[in-house]
Amino acid sequence: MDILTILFYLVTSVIIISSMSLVIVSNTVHAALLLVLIFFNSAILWLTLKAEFLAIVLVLVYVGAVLVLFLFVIMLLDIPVKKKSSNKLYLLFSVITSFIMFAELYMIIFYHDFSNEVTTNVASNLNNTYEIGYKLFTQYIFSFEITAFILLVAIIAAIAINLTQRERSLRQDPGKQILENKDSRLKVIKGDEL
Amino acid sequence: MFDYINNFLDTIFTAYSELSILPHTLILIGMIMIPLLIIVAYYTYAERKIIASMQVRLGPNVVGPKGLMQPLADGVKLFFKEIVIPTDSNKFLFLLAPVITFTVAFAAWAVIPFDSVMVLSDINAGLLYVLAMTSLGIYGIIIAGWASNSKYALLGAMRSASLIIAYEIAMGFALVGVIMVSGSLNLGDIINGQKGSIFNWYWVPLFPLFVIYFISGVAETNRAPFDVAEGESELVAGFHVEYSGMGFAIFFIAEYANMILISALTAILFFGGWLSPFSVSSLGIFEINNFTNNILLFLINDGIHWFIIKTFFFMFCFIWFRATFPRYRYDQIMRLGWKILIPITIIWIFVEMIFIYLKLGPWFI
Repeated sequence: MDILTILFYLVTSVIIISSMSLVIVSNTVHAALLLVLIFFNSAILWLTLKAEFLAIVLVLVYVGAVLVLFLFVIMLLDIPVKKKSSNKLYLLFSVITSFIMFAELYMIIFYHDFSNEVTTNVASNLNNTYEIGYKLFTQYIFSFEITAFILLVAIIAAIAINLTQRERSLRQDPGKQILENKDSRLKVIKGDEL
Repeated sequence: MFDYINNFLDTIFTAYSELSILPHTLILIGMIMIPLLIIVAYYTYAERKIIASMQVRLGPNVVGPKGLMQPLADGVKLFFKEIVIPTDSNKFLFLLAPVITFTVAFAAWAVIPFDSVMVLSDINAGLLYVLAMTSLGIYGIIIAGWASNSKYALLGAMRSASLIIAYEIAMGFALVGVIMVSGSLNLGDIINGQKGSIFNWYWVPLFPLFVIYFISGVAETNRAPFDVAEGESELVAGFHVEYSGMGFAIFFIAEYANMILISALTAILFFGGWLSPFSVSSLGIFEINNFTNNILLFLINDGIHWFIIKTFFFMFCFIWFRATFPRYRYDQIMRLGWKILIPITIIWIFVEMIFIYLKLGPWFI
């Protein structure tokens, strides 16, 4: 067994255990941090497949940006730690959902031929980043641009929703503050004027 | 020297061919970490001395000659202090937070090229790796603030986290400019792309991006004039209020290691890393092959000493800023980050795009 195989089993077992405990733990902050652990280990898996660009971008985008915002929201909302729910209805639904998910995954993994689709281009001389960039900006340029546009729309929409609620709030006007000088703020009163 | 140790260890560990990579990597990591920790210790001393002389004071001068043992005394004091864990705090996360901060601050050094051959891991996406690692530093801050079970710590964490998020975007855009000129994410290739005279370094064509990168770097490390999270004259110490002893010391070391990292990255990305500002052929005074000339030749040629000199200059700038500028108000910082720095970077990237399209030499070829 070479070192990469050992690493694979180590990393996948960490992923499986932490995804299970992600569902089980009652503290939301712990759950978010377990998600960080899962993302890190998936990045390691991708690194072993020589997909260094994707691995680093996964850490940069999901761990460095998305989950930070998750943590922000969770910490500021002050969600109370939930006690175990005794509702049997949840159990029924979760059993059904997990059974369907399992059946689907089983069908995909065992009845589908992946040998033509999953390739890691080990023999290539060009580096990973270059190849992904080349593909994205030639073959997939339209889908790439459309994705970028959808994200832009989402950003603008989020800002627009947020701005409508700000009408009554007090704000500083930086331009005004910069233009203030001594004459507009201070007034010297002489003794005989009093 | 790195090569010599590599070879030596490889011969020893041939039997464990696959595991041989582990011990010699560990030794190389030690060779980066230990000098770095010593520099961190004396950086704190340098900061106190320099600020003292700028404010016409003496600074630390009691422990050892000229106060040179002061960092050691501080270290020993912090090491033997009691670690207080606040009531009802999350003990595991409270102890994990300094570890995360420390690890992340030193992990980014793995791809820093000290010399044309001295680099621990010469990966292709080096710059992305640095960005990913520095963006993780925020976890240490948020977790420390939350796990302390204190209002002040949580508020401090929120302040510094939103500051870091705001300036990370401007920083990333400034790096995009560097990537566009050099055409590579590898830090060694970026330095090799700056070969030539001092005017071939990227600070000339990318001057606005260089200024923005350094400003964002100062903000990212929560240093004055952007140290609103700490603001020692106005607030309690920010996200690490509840930490004492070694917990506090580790946050402190990580902060200074981050400052050194930002300085080193500025030297690499905009000031040609290990490249020398002089070219030997143009000087033409070293025909005679004697001892002094050889030493002078070594000093003038490219090498790790130029990288260290450049890094130390930017480290000095951090201290200089702290002694010079008054602290920004919180909303002014946010305005500067979101409404001034980010638009400037976007405009300059657009200008750069036109330069590259027109193939304007000597930079944009």
